[in-house]
Amino acid sequence: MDRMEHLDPLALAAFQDGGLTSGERASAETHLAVCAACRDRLGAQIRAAAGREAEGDEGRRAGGGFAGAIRPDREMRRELLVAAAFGAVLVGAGLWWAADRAAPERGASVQERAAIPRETDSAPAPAAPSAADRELAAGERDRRAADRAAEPSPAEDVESELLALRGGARRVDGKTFRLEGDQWVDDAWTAPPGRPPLSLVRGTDAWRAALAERPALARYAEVGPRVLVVLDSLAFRILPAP
Amino acid sequence: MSAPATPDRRWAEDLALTRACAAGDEAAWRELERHHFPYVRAFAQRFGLPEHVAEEVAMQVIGDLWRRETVARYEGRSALRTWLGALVTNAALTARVRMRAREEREQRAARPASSEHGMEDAEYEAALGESTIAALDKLDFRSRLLVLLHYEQGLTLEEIGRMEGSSKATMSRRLHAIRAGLRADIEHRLAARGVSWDEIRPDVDLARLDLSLEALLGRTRAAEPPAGAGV
Ligand SMILES: [Zn+2]
Repeated sequence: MDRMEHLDPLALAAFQDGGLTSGERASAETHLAVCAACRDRLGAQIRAAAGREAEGDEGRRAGGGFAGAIRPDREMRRELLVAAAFGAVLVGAGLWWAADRAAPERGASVQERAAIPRETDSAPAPAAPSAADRELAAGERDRRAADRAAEPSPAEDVESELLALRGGARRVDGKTFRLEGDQWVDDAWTAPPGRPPLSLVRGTDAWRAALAERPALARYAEVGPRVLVVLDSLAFRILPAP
Repeated sequence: MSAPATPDRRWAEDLALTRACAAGDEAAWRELERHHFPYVRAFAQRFGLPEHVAEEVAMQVIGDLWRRETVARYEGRSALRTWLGALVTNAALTARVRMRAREEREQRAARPASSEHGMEDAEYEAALGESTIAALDKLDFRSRLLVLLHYEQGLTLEEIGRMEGSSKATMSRRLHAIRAGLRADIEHRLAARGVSWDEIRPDVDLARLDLSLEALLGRTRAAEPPAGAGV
């Protein structure tokens, strides 16, 4: 099973202190550029070391700040759109790398899988190579580069979110969905939320795990082939089986 | 990060300590406990978690450290405390995610649904959004990472530079060049779509781009203006 390999605390610490070789560093940078979960941990540990983590967290990344910042005038909307576009591409980049290849783990919620490293040091597996070993293996890198080339670009994935939609609406269980591009989008969605939406491809293990945890997803999945739905303040992008 | 790990001389003492611990040296364990466990506890207090949750986080990390195989994982490729900080961060963010998910579930009912999408400028917005996406998508990984660490993670250019042994001035130049390139690329793409730059200019102005990025991605940053932000 192809999985996303996050940077473990050892690797993040070595990254922070400049203890990686240049090859390892380049590989780590490549991962960090597309993985919000690892960036969050790196950012948090550095901010915490500098004593400014606790107060800086509120309202970060859209959630409160973005919504709160919206003013109704045209100028401001345009300005925010630039920001939204930027955020969306990041979200897209992270997703494209991460979510579709992340396999579910028993006992962990979908949100935690998206946000938290798979391999934590609180449950180390000493015999297995660390995440960073695999992350940094040259062969693995090449293979991933090939994988990435075969996948849709982040921009393709997110553009439809940003395009204005004049399509009809569908209501399911009190939620309203509007067609945006080729995707039905929950009205409760304010792009982008605190966490990137988790992509769920129908028929995969990840999809079944998410269904087991949130059975309501099944009803919303019926809205269309591609659905972006917000549930428990988490966003899920439901995609058709390949 | 294990096989050919080369310990850095800078952290030789740290490595000697953890190796002694892994070998079962009682004195080394006492040293670890006396000098580093308080740091773990203090570090766990820095995430804005309720006191008892922070203490649980610290206890979880310390509990793990008591196991020889955990402490043996340290390879001297960062300061011991940086690694301890990373372990605590990991546990703290996990705790925070759980806490927030619970809180948000509880508050969800009380929160009004927000869906205010005035679409009168739809064409314009689509053009700008698509152009911006395309421009950002063209950034190389290192450039994208720099933008993200700065705007999204709120790290200072000094902090970012320190990680790769570059000066703040170097990072500032890099970021400035990236932003300028971003803007030029957006302008170019808009022009190709027949949208005039005059109409767009105020929005893509560098300073405004900064404001937008901050509004979306930014967290409170240590007092430092965005690199090269001019009006
Ligand atoms: Zn990651």
